Amino acid sequence: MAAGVEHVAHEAEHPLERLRTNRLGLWLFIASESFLFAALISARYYLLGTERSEHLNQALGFVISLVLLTSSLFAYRAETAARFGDQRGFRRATATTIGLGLLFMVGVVLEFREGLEFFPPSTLYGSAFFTLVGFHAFHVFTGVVALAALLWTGRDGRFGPEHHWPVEGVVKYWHFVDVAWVFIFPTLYLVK
Amino acid sequence: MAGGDTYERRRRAMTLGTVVFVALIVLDTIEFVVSQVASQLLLWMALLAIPQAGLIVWFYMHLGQLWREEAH
Repeated sequence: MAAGVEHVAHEAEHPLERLRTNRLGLWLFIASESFLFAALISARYYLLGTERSEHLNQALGFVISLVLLTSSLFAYRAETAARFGDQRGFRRATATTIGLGLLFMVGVVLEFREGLEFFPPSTLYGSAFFTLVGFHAFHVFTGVVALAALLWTGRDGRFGPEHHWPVEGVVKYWHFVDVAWVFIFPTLYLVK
Repeated sequence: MAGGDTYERRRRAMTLGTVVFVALIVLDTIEFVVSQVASQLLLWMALLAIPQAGLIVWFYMHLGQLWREEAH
């Protein structure tokens, strides 16, 4: 107990050490999430090989990929702005990232509507498609919620050069969601 | 002087972000075009997806920071 209190006090006195611990913790979380996505992607290849539905809307998949990649640019800009104390830039870039995240989700809803018609979840391909895209969309949703919380809490200008870990953490998570999509998009839409 | 340095560092960071973004868009577009014309798609997709993930992880997620003494 005493050792724990001592450790907390030590961390408070050494913010850089605390930042390193935070970063390591987040990377471990991201690594564990990566295993989940890798398992789902592997299941798709194990069950179906490289077979895919001919009714997939590849163009829509490509467009929402571009939307997600663009959102990553704005997330990066939001983090950079916070790091350099540009409050206006931080708010603007965060809001744009949220908007693009929501646009991505609208695209997913359109895909789901088409998917339900041509390859419902009861089919093998539909099962892989809805599980992977649904699991990913849930991550996008949680990312949007986290970004919105960031925008709300940062409205008083609390994130700056000395304190921007919350921004860095949420933005890293957002980029991870993008990395996951970089593999999901070809896995579901392009490979055959 | 310090202000000018900060401005320059920020400008460099923003430029880097934009360059990485352009590279990602180009790779994604090549991936899509290749999928329409080529065979052996699994290999092609891996060859194009891995660099995209690498760019995001290294430049946007600052993986290298974990081993650096000072973060920014």
